[in-house]
Amino acid sequence: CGWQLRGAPQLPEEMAVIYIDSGDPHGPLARELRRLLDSGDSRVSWDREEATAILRVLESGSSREVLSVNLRGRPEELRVIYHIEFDVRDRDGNTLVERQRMVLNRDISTDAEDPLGISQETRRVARSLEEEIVQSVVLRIEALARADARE
Amino acid sequence: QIEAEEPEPWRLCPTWPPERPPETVGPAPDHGTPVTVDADSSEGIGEQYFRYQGDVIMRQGTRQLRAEEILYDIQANAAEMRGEVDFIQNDLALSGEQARFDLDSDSGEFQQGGFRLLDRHARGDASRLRRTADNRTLMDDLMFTTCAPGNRDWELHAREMELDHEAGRGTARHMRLDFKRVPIFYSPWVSFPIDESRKSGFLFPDFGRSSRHGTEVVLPWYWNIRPNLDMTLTPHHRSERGTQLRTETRYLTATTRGTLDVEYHPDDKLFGDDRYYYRYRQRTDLPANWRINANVQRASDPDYFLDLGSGPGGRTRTHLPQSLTISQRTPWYRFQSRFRIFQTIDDAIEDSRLPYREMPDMRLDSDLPIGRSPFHAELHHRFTRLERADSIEADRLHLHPRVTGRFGTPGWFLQPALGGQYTRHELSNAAINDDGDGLVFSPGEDLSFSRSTPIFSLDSGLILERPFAGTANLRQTLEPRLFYLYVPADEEQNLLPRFDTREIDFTFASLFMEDRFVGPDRLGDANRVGMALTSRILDRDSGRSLLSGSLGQIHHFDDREVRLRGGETATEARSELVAEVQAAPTDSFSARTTLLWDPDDRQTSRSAIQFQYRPEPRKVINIGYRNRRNRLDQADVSFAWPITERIRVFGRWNHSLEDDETLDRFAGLEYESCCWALRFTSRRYIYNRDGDLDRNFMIQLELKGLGGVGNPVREFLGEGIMGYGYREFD
Amino acid sequence: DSEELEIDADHWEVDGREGISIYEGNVVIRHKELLIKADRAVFTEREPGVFEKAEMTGSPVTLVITPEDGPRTEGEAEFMRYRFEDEVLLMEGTARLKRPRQTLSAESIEYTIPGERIRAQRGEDDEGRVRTRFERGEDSEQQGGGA
Repeated sequence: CGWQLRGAPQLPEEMAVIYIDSGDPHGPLARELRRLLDSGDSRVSWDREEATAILRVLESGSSREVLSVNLRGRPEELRVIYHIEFDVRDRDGNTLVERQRMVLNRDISTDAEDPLGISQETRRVARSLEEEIVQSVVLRIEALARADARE
Repeated sequence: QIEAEEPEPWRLCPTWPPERPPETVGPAPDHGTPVTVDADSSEGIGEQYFRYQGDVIMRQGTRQLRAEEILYDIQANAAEMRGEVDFIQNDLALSGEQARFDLDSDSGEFQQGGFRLLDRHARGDASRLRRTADNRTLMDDLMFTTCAPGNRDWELHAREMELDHEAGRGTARHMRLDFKRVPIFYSPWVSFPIDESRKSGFLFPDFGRSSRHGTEVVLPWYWNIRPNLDMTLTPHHRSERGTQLRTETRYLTATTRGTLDVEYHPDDKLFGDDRYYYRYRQRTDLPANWRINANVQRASDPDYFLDLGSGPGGRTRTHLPQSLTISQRTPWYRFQSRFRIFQTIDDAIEDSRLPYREMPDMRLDSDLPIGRSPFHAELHHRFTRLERADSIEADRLHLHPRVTGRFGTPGWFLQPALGGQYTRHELSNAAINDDGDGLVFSPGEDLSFSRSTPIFSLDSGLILERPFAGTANLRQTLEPRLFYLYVPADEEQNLLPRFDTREIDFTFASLFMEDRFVGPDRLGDANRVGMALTSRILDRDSGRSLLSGSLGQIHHFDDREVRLRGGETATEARSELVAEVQAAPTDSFSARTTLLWDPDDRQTSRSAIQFQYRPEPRKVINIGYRNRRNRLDQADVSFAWPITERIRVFGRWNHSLEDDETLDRFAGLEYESCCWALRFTSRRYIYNRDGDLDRNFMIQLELKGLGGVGNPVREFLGEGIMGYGYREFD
Repeated sequence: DSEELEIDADHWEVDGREGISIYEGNVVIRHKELLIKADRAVFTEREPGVFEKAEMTGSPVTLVITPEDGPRTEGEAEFMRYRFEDEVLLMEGTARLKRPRQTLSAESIEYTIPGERIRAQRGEDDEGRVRTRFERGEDSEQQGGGA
């Protein structure tokens, strides 16, 4: 019925060798980006000089917001928001993928009497959102880098 | 989510400013820049004078002077001008009948002159305008407005005004504000922005009435003390209470960024005493990536935010964290040591439930690749000293090393992970209770517990794809995923008190987590597999997911023995079925829904659905319903909709269906003109813990271009999601 | 008095009755501080031996002015007329005067030797505006002489 395994992202040849510029190069985000981009005809390198394209994670972080309150005015639900901003430039600095901002969020119940527990829970939810967003980041890069290369 | 860009503030004005000659934009000329003069006629008089007549244009770099007649003194490089005199340089345009200008020192004087700040859409006139050598413009007896020429909706009259173009700030003395030619505000002194560099400036007076506070008047001032130091002072008068002064001071140095908020309310008539709140936040960057963060705050009484906080967001704050954090972040590891205590301002929380003080909580986390192998090690080390009055206290060490590696192409992945946790609690003032199933506070007695537990997990998944419905650019994916987790049970930990550990809310992400608890006091035992199926429809050209749906459930092979105090052994073989659907078929319409269905008692334990229609940044409709069984059952509708180009209505209705009570009802009308906007808002919301209602009505006048720290309505609309606006950033 | 006047030319023609003399081809005229080169010059006498005016045409007519105490000035125009009596030199047709740190261009420029007064006028079409350009620089004091 036509299903086949997703192939490597088709990236223009400017992105043959990619360097990932992230504040946390060994963290989960950079690791998963490396795995997804280091396949097919493009390769991820640890050496910035060797790279033909630089994927810059410009900003990433999480925040939380009270989503609903109960009759006694106490918060019942929080929205955990994870945002990431990135762009891709080639060796001499011109832009392959314009600066993109992606946001993912998930709602959790909260407990007004447990600030310690809730702050740990929101951090864990934010980390899981970070893992979920990587696939969309790669899809966005693949779509925009290819569109840019076509022009 | 689409980032909402700010609509063009001047879209309702006739086209203005007049297009600016492109050569007048750019850095100011220096002494060496040549001067060119075009005229209908010129006449050399004696050694150093030239008289030019007939639409004379004198240019020096980006500076341009025009007049009917200019007498140019070549030696002094000064020009006397008469007749329709115009001066333009970058953002500043001056005009008058007669003027004198010294090109070398870039200073001059215009009689009966007019001025325009082209970037700020601002204009005005003055009896005298002087340009000083240090890039400032001084004006006497002037009128300032951002309304289009001929439109006198609002005018700021002042005896003197100084525009400091370097600092991007204007200051006026003896200022009177006329709205529709009626004086509505006087101030001996005011400062406002004349560039976009910082949100600052003379803010907007708010007037209103509320059932609790009587008449309310808010008069924010902005004081731009120095380029890296500014202060906003906001007197807030409430007829029933008195006057509260809120100050927010921000400062910036090369290494430090800090804000000091001090709020003081002398003699609150309803409260019967003085009240205050202060908050000091600072971040200092030190060499070698060290950083210190301080966050010290205190409120004078538990009801401070309920009574004096602004908007419903105020009452959601139940604890005020106070912390001092020393941290270092390098590519190889992240270290953080944080001293944190809480001021609990929700007096409904009894002492036994007050949060512990972290004195400190030290963490060292690092991710280390293991040679060239696809494996890497994640090392988490944490030591926490937990203190609380008349309670069991603890020194807790928690180590969690883990080796894992993710294999596979983008089409599939396999991730085995083997880790372990070693957790040691040195408890003081603790003894085992009589029936041996928990600890009880007993001063002087010590106990210690330790456990080390292995954790094994195997994550695996496929990503299958095929073109969707025969189209070229749409792809559909099918993403099955299996996550097996095995953690042996250590029942001794059930004795331990709960310091900062909690069982997390079950969501789709819980299927793939290695612990159903968060916090080191418990490590959930598990012998289970999480199964999920996700399908997405992707647009290859934009890389966006138009529709994505996920379904998942956990199957347990053993009962779960580890629990928090008061819980029982969990015996269900299957978790709730969790479903998440997100749709964004077009740029302007999006929907999301979450559903948790309990297979054992065959009913939904949680459901949430939200639609958003946002064709333009200023036009948004949100419809939401949230339900958590016997806890929450709310509808939440909100909208902001322009009826005409100038009139916009907005509102929110947040209703608890279960109790048939409206939590928050808010309606507003906004009339916007070329250079001002007027908002009428009426709000009725539950403001305290006894469910009492506050009804208030506010009028808010925004004078466009006079700057402003974002008005309440824009913050309220925020991202178009009707959150409660109180957002904390980790 | 027109005695300080020297004219060289390839070809010279006199019409005694009208008091007109015409010089053509590499015409070089020296008179007081003026040095003018033109293709053709027509001199008209008010009375025998006394010149009234001289009209020069060239592509273009060039001019050098070297006053005893002032800076050297160069100029050019398509047509020049010099009136001996009040010593006024009129330059017309993309006229240009250049002296150290200053250039003046206009449709017509009138230079009066006594007092070194310079007046310029624009032409009908809009490019013909009077344009002056002053070089500014560290030694930006001018060495006198209004151009």
